[in-house]
Amino acid sequence: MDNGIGVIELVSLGGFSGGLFLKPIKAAMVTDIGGIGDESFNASAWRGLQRAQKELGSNVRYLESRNAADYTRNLTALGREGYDVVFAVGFLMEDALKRVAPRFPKVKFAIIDGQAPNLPNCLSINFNEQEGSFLVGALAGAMSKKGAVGFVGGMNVPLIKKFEYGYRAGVLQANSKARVLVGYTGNWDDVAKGRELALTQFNQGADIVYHAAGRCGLGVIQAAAQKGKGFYAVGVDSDQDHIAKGRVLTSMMKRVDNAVFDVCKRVSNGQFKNGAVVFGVKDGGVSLSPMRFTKSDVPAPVMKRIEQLTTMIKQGKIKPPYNDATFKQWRPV
Amino acid sequence: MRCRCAWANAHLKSNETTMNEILNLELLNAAIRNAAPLIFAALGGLLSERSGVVNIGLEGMMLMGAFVSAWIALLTGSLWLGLFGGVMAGAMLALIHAYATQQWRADHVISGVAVILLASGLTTYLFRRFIIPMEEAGKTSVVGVFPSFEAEWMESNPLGLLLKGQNWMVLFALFLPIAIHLIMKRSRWGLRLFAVGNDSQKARSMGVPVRALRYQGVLLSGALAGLAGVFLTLALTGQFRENMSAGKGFIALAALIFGRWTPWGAVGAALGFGFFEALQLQLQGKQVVAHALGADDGCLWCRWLQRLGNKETELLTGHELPTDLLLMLPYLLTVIAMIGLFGKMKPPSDLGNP
Repeated sequence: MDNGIGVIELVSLGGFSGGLFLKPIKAAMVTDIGGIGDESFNASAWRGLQRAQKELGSNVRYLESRNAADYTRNLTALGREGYDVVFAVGFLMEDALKRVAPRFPKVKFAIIDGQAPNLPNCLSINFNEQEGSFLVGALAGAMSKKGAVGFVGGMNVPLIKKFEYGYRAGVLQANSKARVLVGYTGNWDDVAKGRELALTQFNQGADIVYHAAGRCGLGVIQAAAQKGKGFYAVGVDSDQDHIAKGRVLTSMMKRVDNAVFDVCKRVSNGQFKNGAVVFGVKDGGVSLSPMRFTKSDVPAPVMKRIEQLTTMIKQGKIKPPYNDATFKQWRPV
Repeated sequence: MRCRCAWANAHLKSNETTMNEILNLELLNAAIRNAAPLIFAALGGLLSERSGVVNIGLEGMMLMGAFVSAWIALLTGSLWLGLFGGVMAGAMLALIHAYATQQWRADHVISGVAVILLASGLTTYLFRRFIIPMEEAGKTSVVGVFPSFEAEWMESNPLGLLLKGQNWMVLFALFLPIAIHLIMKRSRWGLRLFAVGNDSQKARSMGVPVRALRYQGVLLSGALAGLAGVFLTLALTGQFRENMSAGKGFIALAALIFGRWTPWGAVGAALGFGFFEALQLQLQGKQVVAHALGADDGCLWCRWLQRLGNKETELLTGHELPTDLLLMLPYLLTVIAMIGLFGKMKPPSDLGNP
């Protein structure tokens, strides 16, 4: 999971830098079955495109996929319409991209959270979700009064496992005796089930539950809000702290929007490079939210420790596990 | 070291994970909550199908009810108006279904699918058009839920533990089957509805207004399915999200069929499903009891499940049952229970005929 070719700067340089060379581009994205309203990476990618529209004058558009058969069809449609850059959002589109990309060599394709085919017009954008999740785990482990925390995942797939293992390692780092209750809802839509699973984990002794479950996660936050004082949820992907003020301890932000915007920019000024990029804590691709409503709940030493761990991840001293094999080998530092 | 999974430690009292801990009242508490929306929708489906109209549109009516209730509650600030709106929205969608199937003799299944697609598209569109901008403007889209029962006496009393944290809608879901049963068996209207569904020709020749009764049955089914949707928003999550019914309408339909189109059967199936769903969620939490810092030997059961679920995973985390298998549990066990408990299916004989 090392950084590949061409590390893209995630810090926005504003609309003006290099503005002289910017040409207005046509940029589009294909959502996976979660759709644009998934409160997760599809929505985030669309925010990135909207920003490109505002700041780069790009002509933007999205196509939604209702089922797996739509992937190829949508990607082909956008390729045929001659978009400059097309984002395939989600690892589910890997196979479709393999088929479509070679047919449109002039169109740049970028896949989020997946592996792009090895072609001059293809780029894969990945995130080290385990790094941010590790920090969440470290915070949760230190904050848990009951010595047990929970994790609610959407589907049991390698991408979500990265969140889970990073989190579990973080909890261990903070409190080697803490229990982690892990559960999956099996889908991304069922808000009621997310709530039920979180309530179950709260009843089983957890007092902080982290979710990586799309819309189901809103049920997790709701459960924490209903349980009240002493119970927390942790949000994911975007800053979800405001959804239940004071009951969302923090959010593990994954800046798909910044990555999408940056690729648009590179296409505009002709600096697009194929290959792979990986964003982590180091470049701000994943991070904890500013914790606007819960900062006062966290003791200063805990906060300091989190900052310390953040630095260690940045320096490469901690490499949080992201799958079963790396988790088994992982030891707290 | 022994396996730390729930099964291996079921007999150990000192261990934190015991079978007692899994089979507790909280489980039943959650089971009722899971079952409530299914009960509403299944009983709704019963009224429609007993009148002879197939209603696979329950899922759509539920989604519509969920959206409209959240929207109205958001606009007016009143949960009761939201409830009313959600029920009406379900009924309106059912009206389309009744009109298509009764006036135009459309195929019931096709009309039902159309209802689902319409609801899914319309709620998504309206949600993005009206509620998402509100969120983006920094306003909350959470409307809150009906207050739940909380009292001291509930802590020690088994009945109290069942009701603790629930709200009146859950109680209503438990009493509704009694009402529906009495209506179907004792009232003139119910018996006529039954007759229409079994042999509409004969009923018509006896002077029963077939079309009117079918309209009523379908409309009521829409209202109840809408109520199921209202339950998701105003009793559980306090908000609407795209596609949040997530197949519950179909589960309710399955419960109705497994329950052989009787109120008690349908409710039994819904409760069974709710129970296994709650059990499944509890077991998921139990499986990862410990961290994989040291090597554990999995128990036989774990090893077997592991082999079934994921060949690549070693036994180091032997207490980890495959999640997918657990997620399947409620569906699987409901089917098995129903096959075992009930005999031959006997749908209303005039079901689906114009």
